[in-house]
Amino acid sequence: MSRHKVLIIHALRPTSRQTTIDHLLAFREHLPNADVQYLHFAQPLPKGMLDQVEPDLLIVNYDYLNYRFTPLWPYIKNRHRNLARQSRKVIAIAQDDFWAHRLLDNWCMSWKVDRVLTPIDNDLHILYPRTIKRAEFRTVLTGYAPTSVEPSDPLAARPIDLGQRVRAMPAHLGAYAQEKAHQTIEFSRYTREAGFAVDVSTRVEDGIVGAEWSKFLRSCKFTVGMKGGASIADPYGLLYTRVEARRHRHISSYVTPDSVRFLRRRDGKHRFSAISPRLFEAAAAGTCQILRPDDYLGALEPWVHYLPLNHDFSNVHDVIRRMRDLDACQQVATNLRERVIDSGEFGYQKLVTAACGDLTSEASRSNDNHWMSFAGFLRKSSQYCKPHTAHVHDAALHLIHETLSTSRTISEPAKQLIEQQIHQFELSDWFKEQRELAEASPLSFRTPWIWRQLG
Amino acid sequence: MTNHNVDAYLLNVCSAVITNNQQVAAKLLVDPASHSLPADLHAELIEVARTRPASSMNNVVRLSYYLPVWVQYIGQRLVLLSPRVGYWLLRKTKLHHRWY
Repeated sequence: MSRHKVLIIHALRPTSRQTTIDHLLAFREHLPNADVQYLHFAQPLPKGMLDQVEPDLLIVNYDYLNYRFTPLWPYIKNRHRNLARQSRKVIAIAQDDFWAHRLLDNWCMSWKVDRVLTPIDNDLHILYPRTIKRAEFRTVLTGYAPTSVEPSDPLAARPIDLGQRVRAMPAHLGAYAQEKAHQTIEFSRYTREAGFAVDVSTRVEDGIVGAEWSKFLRSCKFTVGMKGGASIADPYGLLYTRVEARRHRHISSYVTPDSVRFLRRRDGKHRFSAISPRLFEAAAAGTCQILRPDDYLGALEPWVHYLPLNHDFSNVHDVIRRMRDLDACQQVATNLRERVIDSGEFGYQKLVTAACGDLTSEASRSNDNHWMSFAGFLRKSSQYCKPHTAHVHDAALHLIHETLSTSRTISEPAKQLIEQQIHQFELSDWFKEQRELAEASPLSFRTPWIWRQLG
Repeated sequence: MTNHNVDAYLLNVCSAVITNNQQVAAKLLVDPASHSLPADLHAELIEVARTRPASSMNNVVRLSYYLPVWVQYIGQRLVLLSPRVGYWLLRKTKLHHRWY
């Protein structure tokens, strides 16, 4: 019996979070009887290569769908539409559904999506008015517990008391979306005043990505968080455009959901919330979490698995007092780790089962040769993204894109250095091939995105 | 620093310079390894780190903020009609690095 052919479309970048990489790799790990391949949407392919590829299952990951916020979305979504038509089943994994949800809904219809996996479990008829009539919806988490967890230092040995990175969300998603950053900043002020060492930021440039993020969490005793989400649905992303335009027209004004009428009259009508993958990352790092009291997987109890911080900060001094008792907090972190990680209840297996647990039909035997040559091409291109050549890979793609799409002179020293490294790592043939493919690919020509392939 | 780390650092510098990425350039500049950079590359890195691109630096983009939102929406999608218009706007605003 031939193996199921599973193709996953993703949009990994050099700055992608480890959660996204784990999320993608989980399918290969937990589908041992399937041939799982990863395709980056911006990766240039030889002409006609996709024409005969007929996957049994096409999974579209959320990082690809998040490109719906860009003006080039109509172009991007049409690029692989034929692939969806050639697939026996199409599954979409969505996140941040409330942002440009009509574009997402229209894409689901255009690609004839059979199943949508989303962390949102309420008001789906508002987010997906068309798709809800034809596709099946399943609720999943935004992140899962990693399979293998490295041992971490006890809290007492960690140099940072409170650590966190949160993105300050724009006003167009409502007051609820902004609460996480507000809570983090406000709580860090209290803890700093209480004499704790704090490393907290909401600035994009302070973001920590990849393996460094896990390392950072392992150096923190505490981290603060809550569920993420939104209290406004922005159907086409136009509210975002309006907020941005207003912010630029009135440089001095800070737009909040309360300060402008077009947001105020929409805010609070819905509440879309989901557990952040940070919950699992911090649990795996053995960091004690300070969370807003809420329903966390129906499994976590305040003061047992996390320190509860009320939304109005009414108990902030109780929380700070407890933070000084490191033995008790160590027990809280251990309880959380046992409940969430060691129990195995919230592993990636759950996501894979939700996505393709009932994929029991026999694999198609058609076009096996085309599939094999396609898979071979993807495997070959992924070998240049291994850690020891990833930097050469990214710099070379930057060079290709910049030379293709701009007439300005590229920095000569930088160009020479990259070419020297390409030669040193024996990637000259690969570079030449990528350049030719990019030249022939209209998407590569139009966009500055570079791609990272998964091995 | 190992050879691999040095190579990775140099290549990150090259990427930041050719893509005009101010945020990455500023981070790389404070790295102790910046002292080992060739002088010309170091000067270019300083230049990139010094100028912080903003969309308001471009007159077309700045004027668009005064248009009705649906006109902006359609205008953004007009980049599809011509790759030339698309990359001209992206490069002119010097914000194209954000997509990376």
